[in-house]
Amino acid sequence: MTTLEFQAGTLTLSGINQLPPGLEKYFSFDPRCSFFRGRACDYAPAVMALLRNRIPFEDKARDYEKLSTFAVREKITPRPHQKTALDKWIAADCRGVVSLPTGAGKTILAMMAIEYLRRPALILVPTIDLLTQWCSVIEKFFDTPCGMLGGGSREILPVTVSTYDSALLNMEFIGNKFAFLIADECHHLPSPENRLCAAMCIAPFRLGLSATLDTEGEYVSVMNDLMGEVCCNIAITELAGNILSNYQVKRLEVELSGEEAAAYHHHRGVYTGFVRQCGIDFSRPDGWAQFLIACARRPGGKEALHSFMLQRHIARAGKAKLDLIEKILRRHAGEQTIIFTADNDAAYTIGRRFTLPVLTHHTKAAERKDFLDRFRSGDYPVLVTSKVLNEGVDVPQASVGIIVSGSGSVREHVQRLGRILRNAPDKEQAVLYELVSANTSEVAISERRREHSAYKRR
Amino acid sequence: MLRKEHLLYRINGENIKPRFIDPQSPFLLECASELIGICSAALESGMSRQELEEISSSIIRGSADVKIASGLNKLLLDRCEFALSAEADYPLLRKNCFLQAAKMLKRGTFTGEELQKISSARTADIYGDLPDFEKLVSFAPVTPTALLDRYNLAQAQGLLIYARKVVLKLSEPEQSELRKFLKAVKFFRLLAHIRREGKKGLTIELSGPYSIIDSSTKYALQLANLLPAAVNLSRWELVAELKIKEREAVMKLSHKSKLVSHYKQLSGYIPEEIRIFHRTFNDKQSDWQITGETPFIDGGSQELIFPDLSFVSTSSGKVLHLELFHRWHAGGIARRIELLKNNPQLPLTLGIDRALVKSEEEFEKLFADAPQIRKRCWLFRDFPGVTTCVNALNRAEKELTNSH
Repeated sequence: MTTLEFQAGTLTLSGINQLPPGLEKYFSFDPRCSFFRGRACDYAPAVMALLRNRIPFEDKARDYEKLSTFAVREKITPRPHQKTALDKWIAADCRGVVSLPTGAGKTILAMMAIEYLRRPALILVPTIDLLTQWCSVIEKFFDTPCGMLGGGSREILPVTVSTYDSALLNMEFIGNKFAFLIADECHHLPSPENRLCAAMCIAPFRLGLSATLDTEGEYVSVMNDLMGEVCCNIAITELAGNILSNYQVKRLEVELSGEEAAAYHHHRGVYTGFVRQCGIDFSRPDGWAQFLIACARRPGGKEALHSFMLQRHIARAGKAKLDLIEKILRRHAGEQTIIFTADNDAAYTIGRRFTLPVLTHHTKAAERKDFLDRFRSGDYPVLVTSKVLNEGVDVPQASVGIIVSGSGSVREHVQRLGRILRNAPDKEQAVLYELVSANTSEVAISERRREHSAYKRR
Repeated sequence: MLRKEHLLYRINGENIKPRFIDPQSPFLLECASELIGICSAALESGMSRQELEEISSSIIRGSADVKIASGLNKLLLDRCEFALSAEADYPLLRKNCFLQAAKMLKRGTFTGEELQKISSARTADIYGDLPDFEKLVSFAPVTPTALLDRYNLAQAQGLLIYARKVVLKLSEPEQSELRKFLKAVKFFRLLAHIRREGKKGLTIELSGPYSIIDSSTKYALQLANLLPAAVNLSRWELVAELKIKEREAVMKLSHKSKLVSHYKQLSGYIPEEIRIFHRTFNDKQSDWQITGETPFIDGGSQELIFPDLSFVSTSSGKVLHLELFHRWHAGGIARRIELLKNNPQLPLTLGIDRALVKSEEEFEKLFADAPQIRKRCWLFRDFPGVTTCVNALNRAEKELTNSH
């Protein structure tokens, strides 16, 4: 008897000597086990091909059924753009990627899709904060407990949320338990490791969600293959002032104090001099590694590394920036404010200076939840974070963002803007401040990250 | 395990060679000894992670080879366990400070100094529980030589993280060591494609199930973890295909690489009851003889059977193998019976400890849909007696002859 099985993240076809037409695309002979093996994600077309060839087979791969007891707790009322997105996704055979700006209700769209399919669903998210956030939303709308995989939890239920990292470790055991795969912030999915999460899962129905999709390069074809093509794309500018909060972006250049400027230029000189002397090219992918190796081996390397760290610290969180943060906090007293930094050091410097809660990957789960709950309720008016709030976490009350330092990544910058764009009662206009130390390398970094339509609008 | 920045290797053409150190080098032994001494002292005095790293870094910076010292230190840090001291309830302390600061922030009447004073009045550092401040609570001791051996193995393991395919060649492997190695393969959820090379050699291709579809590095960590088990084999050669820094390279290792495994080596141990059985079997009867060598049987579908004993009939010259299921082997019986049912030609008999079946009825039930296999299986208590074993061999030989 021909048998289709799920084995360790792959699909196996046994009891058959030769592949019938149409199946060669999905299976290869595995001499290690003397049967045919293929990708789990090709389950649906493989089944179709077997049926087309009228080959009787036993399907031992699928370990899920349609949810018989699925009940909606709270009725979902979609906004027009969410209804449009769902219709387009259904028209694409429930397999495709939807690009919506942050705050446009991607999670609600996913809830609508789960309700439409009523089949076991696995949701992949990039962070632990998003894991708990998605679970809360699922339990709010559906009368079903939500399984969690990641952040110390390992409960697999018909609707389960998992971090990409945990899914990668567990997909070879759970990849046949879900009919529906949702990838939140799906621009993370095509990386060489994460893509296996989607490849090792048999789910025929797939929905990718992102606000910052890659539009060219290898990742586009990987995404098309594993999640389906982009079936709906709505830009930030189409929703601002209506679905999203209206916003302003203010770039403030900060003059370093005389003492700091002198220290910055001295250390910058030591560092760049060393880089030139060693002929290190930072445009090369291994430029940073070459710099560290040179620091360890060449004379003057230790001093150069020390100078590099100091000049970066001055530019990122020098006294002048701290003074400006104080002024902005006073100007926006009573408004919910998020302060973003490029690194933990700067975040904790600000936290210590103003006695503020700091959210980094070091923050333990209970305190993390407490910080976010109190920020949402307004108990804490200000939250400092390095990178953990960059993506997805829902803090609609936030109306002021202060970017103290960041990378040159457009994606990071757009996601940070997204944190303050969600509409909330009494929220008139969001403001994003970008603090840039004048006459430092930060000016060029800032120019790089502003290459997005959201920043060119005004 | 070492991190990427600790790896030392040379690429020559398509070959990549880990840069192993001399585990007898007095200079390196001294460096290892100093770093181990710091960890031991840090444990005694309850140092924080930051303090320990500061002191260790002075040794590392002063070392002639910073990268080696830094790698040794990383392996030592893997043996350390840090935990927060329970001196202060930092989350509660912070909550009180933040709530007080929040009132001022909402009013907008504050200065930075005033906000800072809220926390500095209560504690030296409001974030005094960050990982840097965790205390060292345990350290698994190691000798300097063992640390240097571990370092060499970790260098090879570190490169295996980039492996897409690993081939292991074994010459004249002992069944017991091969069995142990293949157990490790199974434990790390890898697949082995085994081919015989000549009379006594074996080639084992190691990979994961998905590797046939895509040569990703998904199983590289598992392959790296398997290396110490391979190192425990007596004569081996390993060829790993790597992709590192966008370059394809081949790493070759063998028993001559002088790597030392930290996995326990128990393969040489022969239980006492087996020694006694060997002795009495040949004394008590002459129909069968125990063969000196027990080869493994390939049952297909990744099922390798390692019989406990092999016998040759003195009259017919036929060889039969015996696999024993002791009381700690409960899981495998049904699977083995299923395998025999599908492969009745396998010259195998099964001895099952009575402790594994509650009654004769339960034993018979195992063969409900495979009566022909029933004649090949028999019960024993603790360890089979010679007479029971010989009777079982005679029955099995007859059954196999009839079925042919």
